[in-house]
Amino acid sequence: MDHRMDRRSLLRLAGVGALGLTAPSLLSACGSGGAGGGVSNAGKDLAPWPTHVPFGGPTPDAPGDGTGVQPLFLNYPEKLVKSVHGPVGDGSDVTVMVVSYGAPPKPVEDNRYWQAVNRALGVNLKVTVVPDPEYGQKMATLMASGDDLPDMIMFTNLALPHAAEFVQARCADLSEFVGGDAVKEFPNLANLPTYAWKGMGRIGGRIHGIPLERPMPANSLFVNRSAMDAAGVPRDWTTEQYLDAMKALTGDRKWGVGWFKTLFTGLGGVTYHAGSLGAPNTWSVQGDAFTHTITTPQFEQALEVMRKLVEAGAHYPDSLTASSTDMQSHFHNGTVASINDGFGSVSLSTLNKINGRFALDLGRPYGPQPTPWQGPGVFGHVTFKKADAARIKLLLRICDYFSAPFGTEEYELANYGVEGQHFTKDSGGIKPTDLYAQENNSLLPTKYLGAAPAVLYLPGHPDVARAVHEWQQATLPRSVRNPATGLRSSTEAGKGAQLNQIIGDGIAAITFGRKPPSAWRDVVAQWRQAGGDQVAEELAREHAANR
Amino acid sequence: MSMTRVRSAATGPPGVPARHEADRAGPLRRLRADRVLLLLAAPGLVYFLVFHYGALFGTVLAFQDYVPFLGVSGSRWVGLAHFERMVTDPLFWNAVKNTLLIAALQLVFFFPAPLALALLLNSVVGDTLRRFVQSVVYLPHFLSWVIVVALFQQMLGGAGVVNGWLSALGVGGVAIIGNPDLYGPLVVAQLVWKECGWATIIFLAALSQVDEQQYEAAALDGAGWWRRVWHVTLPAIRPVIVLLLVLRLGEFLSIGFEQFFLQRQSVGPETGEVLDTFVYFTGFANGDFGYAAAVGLFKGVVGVVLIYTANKVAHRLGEQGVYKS
Repeated sequence: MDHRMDRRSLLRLAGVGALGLTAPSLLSACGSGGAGGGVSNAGKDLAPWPTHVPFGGPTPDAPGDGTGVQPLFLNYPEKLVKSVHGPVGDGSDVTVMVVSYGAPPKPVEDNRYWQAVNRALGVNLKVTVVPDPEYGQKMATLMASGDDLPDMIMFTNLALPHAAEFVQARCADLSEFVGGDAVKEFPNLANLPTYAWKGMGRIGGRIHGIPLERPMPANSLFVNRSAMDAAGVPRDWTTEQYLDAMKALTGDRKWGVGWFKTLFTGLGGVTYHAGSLGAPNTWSVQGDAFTHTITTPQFEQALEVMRKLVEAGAHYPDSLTASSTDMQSHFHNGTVASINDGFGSVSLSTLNKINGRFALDLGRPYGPQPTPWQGPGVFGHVTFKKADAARIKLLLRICDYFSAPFGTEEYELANYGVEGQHFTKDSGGIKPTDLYAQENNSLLPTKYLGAAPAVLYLPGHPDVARAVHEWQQATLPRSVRNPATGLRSSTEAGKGAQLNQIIGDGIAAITFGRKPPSAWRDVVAQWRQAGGDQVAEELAREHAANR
Repeated sequence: MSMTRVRSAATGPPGVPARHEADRAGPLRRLRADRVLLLLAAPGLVYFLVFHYGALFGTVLAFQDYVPFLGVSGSRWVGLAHFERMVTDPLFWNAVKNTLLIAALQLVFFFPAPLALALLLNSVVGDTLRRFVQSVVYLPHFLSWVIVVALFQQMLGGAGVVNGWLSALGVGGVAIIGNPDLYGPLVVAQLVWKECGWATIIFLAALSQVDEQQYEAAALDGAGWWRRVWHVTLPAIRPVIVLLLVLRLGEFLSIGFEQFFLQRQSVGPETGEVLDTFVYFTGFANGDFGYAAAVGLFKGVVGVVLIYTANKVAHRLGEQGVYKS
């Protein structure tokens, strides 16, 4: 297979077209019309989802529930359990390609975290980190190259053109290893909730990856509770109260709302408002018919709120040019009082950056009948290069190790490093050392090779953890899922980025007053014509087949 | 033709016997005599072969429904479908419109700027002062666009320095960045700030070739500074100006990528999308490589037509242009 790929890339370099020598079976798998009807699940033999076998584990201080409220831990468990028995690797090299949001990791010779991971896994991990801003291009290049693939390739949820076809054609089918009861061979993978597997979805009826689980809340409103309390802003608010609060928090080179550039490449900027005012989460489904949220009146109301924020000057003026990291810094230092961010930013690293300047909280939805949007339940997934069964099982054991749940020895090593070097323990729980700032699972992004079902534990910040737990209890029972999560649409796979861009550009144009609110109709028409209607039809077929 | 050029360039001034010998000798001997010059030219030649001529083969993508991991040999041929789509695609024509507008602004406001600066620098007396000013105006060229755009942002943005002062003075702020009406002037101002100094180099070289005696003669006849510029300097460097103008016209539609990629979103695609960003978003973000290649090909063809036409016009006007026909 790889041999053929090499020859093809050579031919491509030389610019010689129309050669009939190359692999016909592979091409027919995804060649039809370039859009690849082969990735859809409609009319396919569906592999069963992995059986869910929950891990017993330590008792939380407040339990989680089925709506997505996470188990709350105020303290670190005193006794850890061992969840991986027997060797993981065989001493071989394992090449990995994974996204990174930080600086490159220190080389393995100087990196005690990396060495400890290698020792625990019994493999020699060779990690290629892809910086987040270059992720799209790097993946496009990887998919275009005929070169040898890494053993493990990590995908984020970012809609990459042709990614599903690529995975289907070039990556291993894991159905026989993890489908149904087979997953029990990997107990930590069996502990992953079914919504995570569904959030990743099947390709052509088959399971092609291991999901990286994330809690239910989607991109949420992070608020500076201290500033809000000082301004007398109530915790539960109406639309008017929300708008007034943002105006009240603006002035003296400070602003109520901080948006940033990439929120406007899709629905990111409007998520909180649309969820507050009852717009469906991206899609709504009735019977098998799919309707997009941008066509609903509630969505237009959400746009109206955003427009009013700009009209009142309550937004950071350079919201369309600022980067996400810049805006996060503005939030951490108090320049802006609220920011849209992924729920994953409810983390120790965010709290360290805020450094006690204010109390962090999450904003509750403001509308009378809110439908807070749930996330897809996954951050992304990990796929494997095709290989023999023994090798695939080895790679699965690596994912299994990194997916070990909170309260296990494996979790501690993967997430905090080595005790005495990267962290110490005291009554408050885990205390990271200075070394942890230089060597951790973000810089060497092992957290994207397998993820434990997330619990709410913020060492040293029990108040924030409690506040977030209350917020989850107030918000999640009313939250709605995106019915398209995990369903395949070949048009979405091919044109998703373009469709999102149309929506994002339209939201920006109306929010910032470049176009009147009435122009939203044109944006919807443009989106429909560019493929939106086609996506709706494909999702409907897919929905019917998966029912 | 190129052969004779190389030789005449290499023979140098008459009266050097070694060169005459080489001239009469066989081609092998001549190659050896010119080996240093040929070696100097080699990296440039390789660059053009690999990154320009080699890349030309990618043009076939314009006639395919190209899927990256299937490659050229595996992708479907679609004939002229991409070009048909281009004609009716309003987004494409919007990008063409924006590109033409900004290119015209660049031509009118950016092209003459280095010439004016060079004339000014040339009239500065005192070598030390002149060198100092030259170094200062060259510097911005070495900053990347990311930094230049960020600098303008910090200065002129809504939360920037200027608006900070204005609000401290109690005057309302001015929306410069993110204002679609000012986008064209803004990007040209950025270009002038960044590249004007660097672009003076060629003009300064040309100015140093102007015969000093003519200035003296003109001054004796009572010509002031402006008359000397108009009647002596500008005619003397006219061939260089025309050459640069023809080259600029050939790249009329290539107004730059990074600068526009970085700022497109602040004003939205209606004003901010230019051909290069359109190609990028179509090809890389949307994976529609075939269509993107077709648009790129369109841009290339327009460039060839423009450079050919401009050169012809230059010939008509009695100038040498880029090449002799």
